Amino acid sequence: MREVSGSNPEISAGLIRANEREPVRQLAAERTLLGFINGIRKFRSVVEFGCGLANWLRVAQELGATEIRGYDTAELPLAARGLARTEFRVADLEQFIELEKTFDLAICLEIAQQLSPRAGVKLVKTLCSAADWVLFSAGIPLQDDTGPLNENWMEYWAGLFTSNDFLSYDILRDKVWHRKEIPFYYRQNACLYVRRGAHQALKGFEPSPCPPSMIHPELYLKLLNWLANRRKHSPDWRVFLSDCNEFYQGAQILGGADPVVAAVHAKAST
Amino acid sequence: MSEVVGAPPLTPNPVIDAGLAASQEQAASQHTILGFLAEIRKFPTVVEFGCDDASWLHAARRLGATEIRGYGNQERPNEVRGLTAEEFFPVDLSQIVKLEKTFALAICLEGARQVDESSAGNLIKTLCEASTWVLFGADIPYASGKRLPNERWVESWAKLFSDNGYVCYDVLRSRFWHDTRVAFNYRQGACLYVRKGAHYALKARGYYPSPCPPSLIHPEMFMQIAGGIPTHHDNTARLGAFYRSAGKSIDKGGAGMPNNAIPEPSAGLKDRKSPEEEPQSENTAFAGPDGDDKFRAHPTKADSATPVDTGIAQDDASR
Repeated sequence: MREVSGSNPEISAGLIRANEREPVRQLAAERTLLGFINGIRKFRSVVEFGCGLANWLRVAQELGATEIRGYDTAELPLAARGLARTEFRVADLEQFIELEKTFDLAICLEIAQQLSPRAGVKLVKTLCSAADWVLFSAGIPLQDDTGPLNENWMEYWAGLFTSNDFLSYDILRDKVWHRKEIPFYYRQNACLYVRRGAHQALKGFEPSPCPPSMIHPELYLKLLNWLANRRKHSPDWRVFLSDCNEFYQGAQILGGADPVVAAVHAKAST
Repeated sequence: MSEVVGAPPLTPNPVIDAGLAASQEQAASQHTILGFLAEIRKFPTVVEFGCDDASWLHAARRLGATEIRGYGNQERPNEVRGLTAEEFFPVDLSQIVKLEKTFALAICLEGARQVDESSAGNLIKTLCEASTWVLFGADIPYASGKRLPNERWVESWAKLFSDNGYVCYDVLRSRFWHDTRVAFNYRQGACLYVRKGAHYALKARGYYPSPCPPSLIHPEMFMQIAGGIPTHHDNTARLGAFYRSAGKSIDKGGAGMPNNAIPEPSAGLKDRKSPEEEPQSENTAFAGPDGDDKFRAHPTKADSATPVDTGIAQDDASR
């Protein structure tokens, strides 16, 4: 990760702390998901809506994208995002955003649930006009603690993409379901939407008529833990972590957490 | 796990029992799933372990099975099951049950509740000796509301099957996820395990084994648990209702949720809860152990309280 030297020392310090503590987690989601998509079809230009710290854009660059662009509110200083002045635009994601060009890939992750329902419809329209391939995820009901405005099921978002004539390729989640270094919300919600007619590169993959909402055990355990400790006003993290560990250990034995081991198992079983 | 509770005979399971009672299509679950399997491969003989009310066996018979047999504990009288004395045998499933013959299909969707943690291996061995095809499902941890030792993740059951040379064909969950005829606990957890070498009917239809079938939680179960969150209740009910009605139309390629059904924005946990009831806001409830951000996708407003003038041109102006 590029060093963050923004004018908000708290954020920078927090990030550095988090990275020191868990180096493995560093950009695992970005590298895995974008690497997988890039392996199917190389992307040269990538745009992200609600780009936050722009990790996704910078990993896209790492993977060979020559043009990146982020759209977000002006909340964070540009330096914290590690983007050049030309690579970032301030935008109101509540409104439809018209771009002067199309990109190879549009990214919008875990943002849509924080917008109003009307904005959600506009956002999907923005994404569909920005690129033929869209990597999208949105928080499901009860996932966020920040007072989400438009928490909705995956079926709902898929429906919006379908009405823009996009196909749902639900090919990401099963690749990463057991990879605990990737935040669970990407593993649970990420889906690739592709414009009908622009899906030749996806030969061998079947589009889903409707990708199903599936709740990850990590979120399930978190909700249960929170409910059980509601009166004490603090979750029991020891129990939560041991429950999670039990789940991941079970998966590890079968190679679920490691694609290489899983492939060996798959080969052995046929 | 600190203490192992002895084999709980028919643990009352509020979540699942309510789900079963609520759907009047209880038998529809059985008929739908077994009908789908029968299309892949016919099963003239069927054995069920832990047969509660034998509804799976009766559904199998309706679908053409000529020989059915049930094994389980004697908690319920035989009349409930509607089986003859030749068709039901009371056994202790925590021991390996040896049969004199093999069956075309073994079913165990309630049986795992009848064995304790240490006997799970025995149950799977029994199933694998009874048939080359096993339809299996069990409660995930906390399904009963408590952490019972005999509740396991799907991955853990898959491991036990794998030890017996069986692979998982995760063909049911994706097929029926939105199908409201099937009780959600089956949609969430029912998997087909097949002995290596007995998978040709599946291969011919283009199905592949899943080396590590993932534990998935169905939104209906999730919503039922979340029903305990009072502040979120209206929205929870609406979203739950959407989910229940969604499947039928959506899988057929519909455009998803009709516009008039878009839920109104919820006020969110934080805004609605009165501070007297819950002094500590949920903002911290889901954050990491020492308040780190690893469960959060993006910095929230609270993270950067002071808006910074970045001097960046607005989108329009920059062009």
